[in-house]
Amino acid sequence: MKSSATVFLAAFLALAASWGGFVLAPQIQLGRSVQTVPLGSASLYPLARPGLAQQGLQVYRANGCVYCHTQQIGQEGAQADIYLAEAGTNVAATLAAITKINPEMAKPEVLSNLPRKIVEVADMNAAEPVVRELKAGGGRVEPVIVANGPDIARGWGKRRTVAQDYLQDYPVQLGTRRVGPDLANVGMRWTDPNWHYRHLYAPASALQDSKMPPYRYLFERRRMGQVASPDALQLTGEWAPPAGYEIVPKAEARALVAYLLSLRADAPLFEAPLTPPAGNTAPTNAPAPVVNPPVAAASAQ
Amino acid sequence: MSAEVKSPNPTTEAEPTASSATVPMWLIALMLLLLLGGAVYFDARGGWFDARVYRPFAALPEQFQPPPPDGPDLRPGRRIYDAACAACHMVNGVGNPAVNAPPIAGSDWVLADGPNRLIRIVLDGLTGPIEVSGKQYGGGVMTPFKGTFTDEEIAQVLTYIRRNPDWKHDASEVTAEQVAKIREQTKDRAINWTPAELLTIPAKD
Amino acid sequence: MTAPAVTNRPAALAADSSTAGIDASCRLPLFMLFGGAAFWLVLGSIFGFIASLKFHKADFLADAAWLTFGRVYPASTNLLVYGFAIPVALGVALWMLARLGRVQLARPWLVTVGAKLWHIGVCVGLIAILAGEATGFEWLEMPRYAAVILLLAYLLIAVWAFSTHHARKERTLYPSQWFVLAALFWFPWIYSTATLLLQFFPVRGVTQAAIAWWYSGNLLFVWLALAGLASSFYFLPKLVGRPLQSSYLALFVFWTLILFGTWVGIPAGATLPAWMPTLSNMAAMMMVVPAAAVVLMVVQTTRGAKTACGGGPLCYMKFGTGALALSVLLLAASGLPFVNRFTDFTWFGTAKLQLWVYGFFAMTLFGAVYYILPRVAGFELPAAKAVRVHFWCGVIGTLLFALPLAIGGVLQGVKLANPDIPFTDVTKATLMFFRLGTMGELLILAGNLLFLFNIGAVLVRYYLAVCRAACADLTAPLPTAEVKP
Repeated sequence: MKSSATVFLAAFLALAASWGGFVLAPQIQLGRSVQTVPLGSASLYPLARPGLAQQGLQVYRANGCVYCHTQQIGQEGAQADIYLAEAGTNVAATLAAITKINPEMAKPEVLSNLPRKIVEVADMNAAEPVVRELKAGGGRVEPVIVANGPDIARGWGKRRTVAQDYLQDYPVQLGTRRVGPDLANVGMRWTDPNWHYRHLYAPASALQDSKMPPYRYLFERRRMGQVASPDALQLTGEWAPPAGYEIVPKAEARALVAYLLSLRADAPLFEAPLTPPAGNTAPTNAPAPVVNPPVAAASAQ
Repeated sequence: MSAEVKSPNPTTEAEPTASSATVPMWLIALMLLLLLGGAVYFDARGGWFDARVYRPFAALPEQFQPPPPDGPDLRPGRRIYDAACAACHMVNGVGNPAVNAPPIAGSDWVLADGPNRLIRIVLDGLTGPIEVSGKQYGGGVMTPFKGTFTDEEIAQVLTYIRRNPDWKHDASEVTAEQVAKIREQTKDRAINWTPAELLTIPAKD
Repeated sequence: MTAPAVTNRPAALAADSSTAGIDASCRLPLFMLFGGAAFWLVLGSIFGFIASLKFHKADFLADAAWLTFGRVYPASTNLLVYGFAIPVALGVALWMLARLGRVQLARPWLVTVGAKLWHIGVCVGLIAILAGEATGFEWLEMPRYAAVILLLAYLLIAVWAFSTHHARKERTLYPSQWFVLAALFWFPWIYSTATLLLQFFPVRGVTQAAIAWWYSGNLLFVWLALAGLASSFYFLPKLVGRPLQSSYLALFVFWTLILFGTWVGIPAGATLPAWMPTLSNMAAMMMVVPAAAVVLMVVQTTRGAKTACGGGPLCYMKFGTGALALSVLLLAASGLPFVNRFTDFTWFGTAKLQLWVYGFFAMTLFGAVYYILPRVAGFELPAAKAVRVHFWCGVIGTLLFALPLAIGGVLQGVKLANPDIPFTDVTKATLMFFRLGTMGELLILAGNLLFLFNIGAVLVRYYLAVCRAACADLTAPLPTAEVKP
């Protein structure tokens, strides 16, 4: 290259291309996303997190939780489990269909204790003929979509995470390293606020072999009054405070735990299909439960 | 400074030059080969720029959908409700006393046995004081939606308000045929309904 | 007073395009850039070491909020990139532009002001991170009030770099100049885009993550590469006394690097529509092309040269090239779907970045600084032997940090992919590798201390000489001979 102008033009073209690809294009595709209504539900998804949980996201950010915890679930595929819910009137036809589909299950006692899983198929296209055949006897058949993969098997989520799940958050804390477990659905997996408080204060007291550093500075050690505070942590053994003292969460800890409890991404979406849970319960990042631990005042006596 | 400090600068230090040997062919071949491999890879896994395709899938048809749940799909109705009705009746269906809009959630009019009165209200509007679930509401005016929505859309929005699980509603579905029938019966009507007038019509056929 | 060190008055040097004159014009800006960079480098590696110790003992320094892992770790990475890498690269770039253009640095005092402003920005950003004001986006943690200072400081330096380049007397461009010019142009664009769209007018949802990854990919894999390769391509031919092999190959590296590197950065498992991580993986594989070309250039340029490297700048540059090749191999591997299944979200990525940022970039730039410093100071390095010790600390430290973490990362990934292994066992299995890595970090810290020592000694010696000269001027007898009635 003979002139500086050529250098600038080259740099401009190369950078403009990736700017268009990774800054502009996602903005066009996803930047105007709005809440949607998941399948089988009438509620909008995702709802804004409750105020305390929004403050908790800022505590999460300020203390760099993102350097050890991801909030994104991967998936390796999906399968359909075909359940027989009701045998129908023509039992013989239903049994004949089961014999054809899954010979191992072709016993009359299969039809008791329904619903029962009859067969697993690779996808919904394969499920359709199976469902049609099983329905021959007039029974009720329910195909259930199940996501696969190690993350799902670990119980970290029910399906992979998608863009829609993060619509309400700033900053989005996806993370890139799993020093600790994934937290995309931690509010669904660990629902007890008291457990979270103990785990933050003294990780090993709540989870054996936890390598997480303690966050004692989010808690206050203070002299106990006549009665123990209702929100004092219940700690035993080496973690217990000296007699006459109690450990209570500061506002940051309350906010952080409210945020953790609001982390949940299991709404069935078009781009992340899942069979909607029965009973039309709203599968959203629902408001966190009351975070004051219901500690019995009686324990102080 | 002392004399033993000597400058490492020679008086003229030659700046580097570059030879003009060509780029070896194998390097260009490697680049083309990798580009080809990358293109095949992108074609197989990239989802062709579709924002709804996520790993591990590569195309939309692979992302099979669950069967629709029992009962009608409430989503189109919700969209219409949020756009047209929520202005007065609010998104959560509690109504708005400021404009004399009665509640939808828990309303005995909405949860009636049949949709005959509801369809008429949406088609031609409503005027005058109305009693809803035993409470009196002032004389607001609801505009007609005859010319705004199709039979299908009116059926969807009514199905939504009659079956919305958030409001614990579980009334029967409304079909486009029902709407079409009543639209035909009332096609000459030019004024709003009044509650008294509606109460003379059976809720269910 | 024989030392040229103290003749810094611009009038005395005006229009002096000798190498000595050019070096003298660069002296104060480079002292400011290099001195601050060395300080941040050491401080950053101390923070990194503290972060690393927390994996050995989770209780370590756990009672102070500002010393929690989630704050000292970003503090260390930010000091490495914003505190050390960018100012030192700017310093080397300014000097190369002046030398290659055979012209003095334009407005050295304004560049010095820019350098001071940059260090103030880094200081503000560091305090903000430790105080819990970090943005939450990796490699972009400094909040917007620090970002504005940094961008202004960068522009202040870059403007006079362009001005110097514009006024050059040697009109033919040398490959290093392309790389420097592109790098100067690259940073303001990516940094302003990321700061505006993530902090001033934040975009919604995962688009934030896409932009943050685009930024960090461009910063690490393009900006640092451009600056590091500019130095390699300048110093290698100079040190071995042979021409660069060749200009066309450098052109090939330049184009392939900016075309492919700019798409690298989105991890394979990212929660983004499939096309984005796929495109990024493809770009990661394509990075093999510029890396192969760089290795070819370095081999052809240094082959047959009689120069022994002896732990000096040449050694640094050669090791830098090796680390670049190794890092790109890891990068390309993590672009392959059957590999990134096991490397995503593990320590593998950390190992790759350590090889790239420290093994390639920092080592190359150390070599450059050790070459430049005696020339702009006007005297030899006070602790020349420390250069060699630093080299071996850097080499062994980098390998001892990166290789165990790469292996441990793959092991971690394999275990993560097996849901029957409890998560705590996965974490435990990587601890042994991590402990080896901490040893590497300790060596790197020792090397960085030597770097600081050398630069500090040069600065102290220079400013002592300035003071002495000033004293001598004050106490000198009046030149009575010239006073004539």
